[in-house]
Amino acid sequence: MFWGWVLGTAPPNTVYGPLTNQSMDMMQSQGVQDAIEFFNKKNAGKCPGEEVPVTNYDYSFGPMALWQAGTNSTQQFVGSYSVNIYPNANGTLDITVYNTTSMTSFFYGLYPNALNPPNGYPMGNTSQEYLGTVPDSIRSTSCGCQ
Amino acid sequence: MKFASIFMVALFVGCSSHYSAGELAGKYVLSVKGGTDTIELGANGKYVHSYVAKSGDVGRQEDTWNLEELQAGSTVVLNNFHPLSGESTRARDSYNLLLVKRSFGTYYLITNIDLNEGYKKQQ
Repeated sequence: MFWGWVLGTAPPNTVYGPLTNQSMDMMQSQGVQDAIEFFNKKNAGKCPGEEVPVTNYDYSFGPMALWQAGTNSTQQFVGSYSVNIYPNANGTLDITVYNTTSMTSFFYGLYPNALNPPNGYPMGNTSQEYLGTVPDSIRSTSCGCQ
Repeated sequence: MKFASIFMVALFVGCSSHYSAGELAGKYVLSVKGGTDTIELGANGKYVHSYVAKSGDVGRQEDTWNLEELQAGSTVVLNNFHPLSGESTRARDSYNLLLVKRSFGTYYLITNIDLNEGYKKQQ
């Protein structure tokens, strides 16, 4: 992924399905766990079907996140990202992680977005979506619904 | 690849800021392909979200907002936010989160953390 971005051969957008290693890596990330915790807090006491989605939950890649990512190459590559959580009527959660790889993100916001090369050029913008589903059984909700 | 910029990270961490709801109140504008998206944060805890398409169509919704401290920083939480007609996001009510950043004295509500894109506060 990294060299595809450097060389300009990465596609404009790549979607990783729930069964891919990349998505499984991201579903275990600290940012996704934090987003689920935020979702549960906001929806405490609500039953499946009543829960409200959470969109654009940002996770910033700093020194702590670097440590938390450990040797996980997907999380190292992704850096900062946004998480959307959409609840289903059966209690499961559909999760999408969004990331844009760009010069701006590579230089932690110091490089102006207006000067980012377009996709197809070396270090041009390329985005990824990582999809996953969280089973109802591992969520810590307190709605008490049957 | 992230190791190379570790010193820049440390620089940003040292400069991270917290904001108050009072100083964030105001009108924020984001130009998008099909029109102009506006969010007005009221000091009374209410927000107005409007979208004016280039075709002239206007959409509007309002609800409440609050400020929360999350891992990425101070974040505006728009309750019961829903995309208006013409906006290209997935259409469902949600808690929509917008990270607050300040650059050269201007506030931004970030919609893309990787590109530093988002709504810009009007003076």
